Amino acid sequence: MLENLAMGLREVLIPYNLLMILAGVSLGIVIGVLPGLQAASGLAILLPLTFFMDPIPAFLMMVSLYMAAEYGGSITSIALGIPGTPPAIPTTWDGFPLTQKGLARKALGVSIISSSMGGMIGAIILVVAVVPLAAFALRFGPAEYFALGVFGLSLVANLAGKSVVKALISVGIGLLIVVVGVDIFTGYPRFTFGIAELLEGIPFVPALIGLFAVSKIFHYIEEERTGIQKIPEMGGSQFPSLKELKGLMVSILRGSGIGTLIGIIPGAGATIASLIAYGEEKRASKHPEKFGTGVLEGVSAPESANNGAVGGALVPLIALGIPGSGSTAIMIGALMLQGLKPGPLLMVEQPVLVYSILVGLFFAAFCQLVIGVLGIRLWLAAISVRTSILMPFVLGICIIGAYGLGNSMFNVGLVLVFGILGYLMEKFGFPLAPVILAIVLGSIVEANFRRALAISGGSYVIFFTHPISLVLIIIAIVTFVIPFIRMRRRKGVNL
Amino acid sequence: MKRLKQSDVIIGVIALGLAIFVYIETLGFPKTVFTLGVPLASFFPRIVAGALGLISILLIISGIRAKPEVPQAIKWRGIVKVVVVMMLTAVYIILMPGIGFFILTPFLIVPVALIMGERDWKRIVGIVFLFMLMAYFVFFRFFGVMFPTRIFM
Repeated sequence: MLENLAMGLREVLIPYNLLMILAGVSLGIVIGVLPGLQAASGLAILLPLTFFMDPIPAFLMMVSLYMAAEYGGSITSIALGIPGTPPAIPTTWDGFPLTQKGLARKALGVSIISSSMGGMIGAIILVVAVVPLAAFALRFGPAEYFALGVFGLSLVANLAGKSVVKALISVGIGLLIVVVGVDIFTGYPRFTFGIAELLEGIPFVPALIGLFAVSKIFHYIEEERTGIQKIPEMGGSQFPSLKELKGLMVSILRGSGIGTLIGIIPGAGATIASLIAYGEEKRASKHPEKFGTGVLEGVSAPESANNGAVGGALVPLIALGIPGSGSTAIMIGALMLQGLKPGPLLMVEQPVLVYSILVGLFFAAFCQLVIGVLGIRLWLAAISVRTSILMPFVLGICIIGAYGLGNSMFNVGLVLVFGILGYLMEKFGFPLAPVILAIVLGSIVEANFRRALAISGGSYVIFFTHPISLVLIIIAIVTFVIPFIRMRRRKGVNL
Repeated sequence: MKRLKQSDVIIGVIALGLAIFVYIETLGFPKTVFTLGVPLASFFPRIVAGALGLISILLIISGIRAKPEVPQAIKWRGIVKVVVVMMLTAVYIILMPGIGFFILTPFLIVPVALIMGERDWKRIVGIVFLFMLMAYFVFFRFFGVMFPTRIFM
């Protein structure tokens, strides 16, 4: 393995390949910043270009873009309260309040450091344990996926805020959104009301843009915030200190580990990883009530997780030839374009390429760190623009982002509908985080519940006889119940 | 003293109505079992509707039993602005396929900027110009997003 790593390192250090990493990181950050665009969009554009490139620089650019796009979404999350990508949603919950407190530079600093460290830790785990981790991924069947989804949904108790009942209603709304569309088992159109565009269900990205971005724009308009966001520079508003970073190490390590582990599971992805990492960080915290008000751990956990998930998603790709995410599915396409065969023999037949990717991931994380730190001033300048100019611009970007997903005005209409829904929900105290949690996890829960029962012939015992499923269900019950017990012990809690 | 949080009661009733509507809709779903043991298409929506219905009742009860709150002043001006922007966006969405993105979009950005209180026309023209440049070079040319350009066809 050391010999292969040395070969990979030699390849990565070729100036042209380093340039490809830089190009990938830069493009990835830009893509992550723009709401509606994600890593998969950027990779899809790069895909035809890779045909004209050698495999190693092509893949170095792709993995760099993938990683940087997951980070890029956090910039608008923190600066504007609008997540640029789905995995950056949890970063908004503490990142934006930090900006409002005058700690934008610190929040952005924690974000870039956590993301980069998450990426590096994910890369190290990938190098060391790619084969055994792939074996772990193979153990995930429908029962395990269902249990993972239930565990994710149990985090609603941690995200409930002041009213648990309202959070549960938010989950219900999210789950109702998920059931719209053709039922995958019977082909029956559910709740489509004759609208052809709804046959494929309500797409996730327009719902996200509407709920989190457009609703925020409506709030800005209602509060008549027109001028420059004059955020007072408070003491300690500089880049995070070494002492602060040391205090965040546990959070970063935990987030990276969660992110890598969740990323390994095909179909799970960085969004679920960052949501679970945030929920677990809050659960493990001595002051969970402070989450949502602007705590640094609320930024470091999801950010390290969403970049850790990149390394995790490459495990099934490299070891098994199975895509771990939409982005890695596009990379499989790139492998085939290059005349390479994805599968378990890739590591044996193309060791230089594989180890170049593994080493390149590490370099991409480092490059991301440098560009991200240098770019902080740019992001801070962006939030100094007058909101009366910035918000119409952002509204336009949201419209383009939604339209670009399939060149469909229907998606733009959905953005408006969800924008109105999100605005009204927040106005009446209903949290939006559980809605997104339910939308992301709801389809996994239903589909795999039914698949598992198909396998077991209708017996529910399957969920308790599979060890991973059983453990996840127990953790889910504990995760759901403990916050209620804590809340009942405190006075003045609104049920 | 009467204890009531009106908004929670109203929303609870709406959510309960939604749950009942969803359940009623599922009564028309097919009842044929294709694979032994696999729940029908109506199974999951009914679970969600049932849970939503129960939670809505909890919300109604908590709204009825809530401590009286000092009513907050409603910022009607802000709300009217929001409603106007919502309607403008809706009209924009309806008209865009017929008129085209590059012609119609400035007619959304400018009014929204004005509604948000911007009065410096140089800034407004500047942001429209910058936005349209970005839309053209980044999204149309680089990402290949095919915006409606109907009026030119």
